[in-house]
Amino acid sequence: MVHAVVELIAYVAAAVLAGFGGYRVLLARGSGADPAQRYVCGFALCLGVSFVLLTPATLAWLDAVLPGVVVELAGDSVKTAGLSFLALLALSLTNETPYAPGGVAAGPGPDPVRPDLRHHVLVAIAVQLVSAVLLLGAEPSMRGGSMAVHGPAARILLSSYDALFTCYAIWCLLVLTRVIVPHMRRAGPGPLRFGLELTTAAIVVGALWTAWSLDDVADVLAGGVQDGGEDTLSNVLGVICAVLTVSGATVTLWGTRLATPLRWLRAHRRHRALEPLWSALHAELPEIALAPGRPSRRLPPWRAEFALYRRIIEIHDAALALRPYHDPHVASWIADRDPAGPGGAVVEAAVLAAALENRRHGRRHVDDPDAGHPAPTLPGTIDAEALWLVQVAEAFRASPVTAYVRGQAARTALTGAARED
Amino acid sequence: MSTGGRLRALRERRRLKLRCRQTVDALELPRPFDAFAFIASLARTRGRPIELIPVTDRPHTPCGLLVTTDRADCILYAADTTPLHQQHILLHEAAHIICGHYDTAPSATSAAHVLMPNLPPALVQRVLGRTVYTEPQEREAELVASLIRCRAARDDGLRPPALVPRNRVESLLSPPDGRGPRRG
Repeated sequence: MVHAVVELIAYVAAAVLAGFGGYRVLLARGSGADPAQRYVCGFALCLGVSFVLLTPATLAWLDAVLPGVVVELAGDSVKTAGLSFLALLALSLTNETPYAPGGVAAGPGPDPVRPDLRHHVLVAIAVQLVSAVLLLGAEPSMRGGSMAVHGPAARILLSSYDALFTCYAIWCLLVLTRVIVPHMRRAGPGPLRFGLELTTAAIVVGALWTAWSLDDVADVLAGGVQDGGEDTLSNVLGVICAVLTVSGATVTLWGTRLATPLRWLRAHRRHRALEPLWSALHAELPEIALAPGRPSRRLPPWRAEFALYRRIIEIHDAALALRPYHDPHVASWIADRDPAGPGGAVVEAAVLAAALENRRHGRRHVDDPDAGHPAPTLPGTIDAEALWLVQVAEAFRASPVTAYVRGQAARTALTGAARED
Repeated sequence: MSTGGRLRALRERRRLKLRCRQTVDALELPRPFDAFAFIASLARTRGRPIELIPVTDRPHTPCGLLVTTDRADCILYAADTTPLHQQHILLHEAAHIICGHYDTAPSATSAAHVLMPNLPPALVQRVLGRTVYTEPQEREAELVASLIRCRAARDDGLRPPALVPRNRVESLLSPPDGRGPRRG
């Protein structure tokens, strides 16, 4: 069952890679298009085809039409060609200077048909030829989805075939890593950096996927038998690699479209998280609200950012209005309960809770020099203040320290009122 | 309030919001946003200085106050609150200037005397304080200030420079219309 699901996902990944490759073909058609687009396209299409050819279901289906070894060789060749495109892509970008903030933007590098690119085309062809010679020379036979060889010479040939693929793949990934990582480190925050991070993650998973084929080398040397096609773990790693590659290369397309709804969602969540604190303050100080009456329970997503901003400002307005009611005893009450000491969200929540109690009982501490409470040091952004106030609201709602301070303030206010009577 | 009265109030609020939106859309905001830089540019545009005076430990006065004299506009703002709140108070008072509010509230005038005792009352032409939003001018200024800060946050979050590819590696990850280096 698991095998079937993984194989199905591998076919879907192949379709996604084919779609992505086709999209890149369209981009690479124009006269001014970067030739690197063709390498990306070649890599995606080759990887997609190899997924289809090397999935055990395909191998079983083609078994009646073609010799299994031929299909295996075709699948591996296409995968190796994909890796060659990856190396060509990396080599064509080696002269690109990573962007340095404040520096001069890098222009196009030299002509892409450079000697090192031509050399690599020859290396890629040589790898293909040597691989074919090694596999066919081993004269393997297919038995129930596995490939078997007989005799020590055949074992060495087949294990060399596996080892050659692994070494070549690792080399291609290393060349690409050397190009991508410096760009990723220098890129500022944003979708481009995220795209480079996803690409780097794809390279890491690709390396694991490749390294997994070393088990075939061990199996062949030990028993002369290896799995035909991709096993379940290989397929899983391959699918993850494909998803990360396509996601990284298209992040600027979907990242910007997703940014606004994600921002609305975050604002909506924070607005809701501030509800307990805002409601308690609004109940005592209704004048803080810009909109009259109780806010509607249903907040449309597109209004969440404005509503969150208003809630932050109204909470701060209430905090200022409560200053005359700040209780000078809060610090000592908290010292008994909060080993972390003052300065955190719990302290802020406790100060507000005590001030609210004092206001309800009409106890002002305006002339007390110890009653003041410094404002927290925060960056002046909506994000930073929202995060801070969400912590304060949570402490206001659920912290035992706040509950204790609230109780102490109410008791002190009642005792004081009784003494005055 | 009767249904007719509620509908009238709702229509009035919608009209106010639309007017405030139009006012804010017409403003040029610095990027990244900085309330002090925005007010400095507002002063330059009007050709009249705006002085910003931080005030602390004044629990009995409004947290923001706009005092207009024959020479300059002075914005007094609570400095003992968080940076975002300070920015908002500044923007609220700046919004009074942008909207051309002029009615002086008596409570704000007495607060101005407390906070600026050396300022002769004869020189004061207008005093507006950030107090409650039942006053139409205060509501409008508060709405304009909120819309300015929300628009600024949205604009700052767009980060268009980071989306423009600056070399071929970045252009491979960018949309086809991204203006990056091309070959050919």
